[in-house]
Amino acid sequence: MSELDPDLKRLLKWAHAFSPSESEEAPFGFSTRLLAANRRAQVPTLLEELQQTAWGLTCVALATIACGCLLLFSQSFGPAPAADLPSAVSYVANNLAL
Amino acid sequence: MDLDVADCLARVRKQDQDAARLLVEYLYPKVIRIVRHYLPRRAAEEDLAQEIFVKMFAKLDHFQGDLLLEHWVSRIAVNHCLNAIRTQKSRPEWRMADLSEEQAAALDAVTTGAAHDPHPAHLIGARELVEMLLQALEPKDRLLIRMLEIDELSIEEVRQQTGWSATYIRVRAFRARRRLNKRFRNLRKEGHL
Repeated sequence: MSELDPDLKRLLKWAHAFSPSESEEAPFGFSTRLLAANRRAQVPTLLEELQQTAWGLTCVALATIACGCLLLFSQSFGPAPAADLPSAVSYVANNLAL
Repeated sequence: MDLDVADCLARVRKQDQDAARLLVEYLYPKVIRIVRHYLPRRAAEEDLAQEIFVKMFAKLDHFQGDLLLEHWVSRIAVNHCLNAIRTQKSRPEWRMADLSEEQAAALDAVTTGAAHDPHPAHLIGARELVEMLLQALEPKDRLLIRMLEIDELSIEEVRQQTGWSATYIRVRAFRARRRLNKRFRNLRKEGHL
């Protein structure tokens, strides 16, 4: 294992010996400020709320597209409507024309 | 300060603010010691401590209790300090002319071996000189030198506080010592780091 230069080692020892006495107690009001900051950090910001809303809207849009695709798919493979059975639209149009 | 850590954690997880306050007061000395020790520029030590505690609360649900809470918090603090050190601009080169009177006197005293019982001014100078020498190292190397050479922690203690493997610590410390020796010799012989 590489060893430190003895002079450097002594320098480090001197540096360690000089330790200004400082309180290690939490300063007055520190925990209150911290817990308030922590609460603020947990509350979503406007940007985060916007992101959540955008994500929700995207999901709804994707679900709508998927439903539409399924409907089209089922119609293209389903039984063809009877030719003599008029559609609701043409029925209404014919009756209105009358 | 005695604290039933398990009970306190359970209460904190139930959003008990008094328990959270107790936990902060219990862990504060440990955290502030790490912050003071590993960050020489202390302008924002309280801010850093606060950021460490916010991070701790955010990760508290991931704490499984498989290691001591103090060690777990130490790792958060050490990593946070490392990130803070990385954002500090390091000064790559110092010259003899940059040394203050105390620093030059400390260097002189330590290299001539004259002072076995150093003058308080030498101690201050030595501390500043060590900070300058360490600033030239990478943050992880700086941290390891502090832990192993200044705090005289064992490899196992460093492993507990950092979460790094013993092999990694040994290899990294070997290289860090070599770099530090080189810089110290340069300073001593040629008057620059």
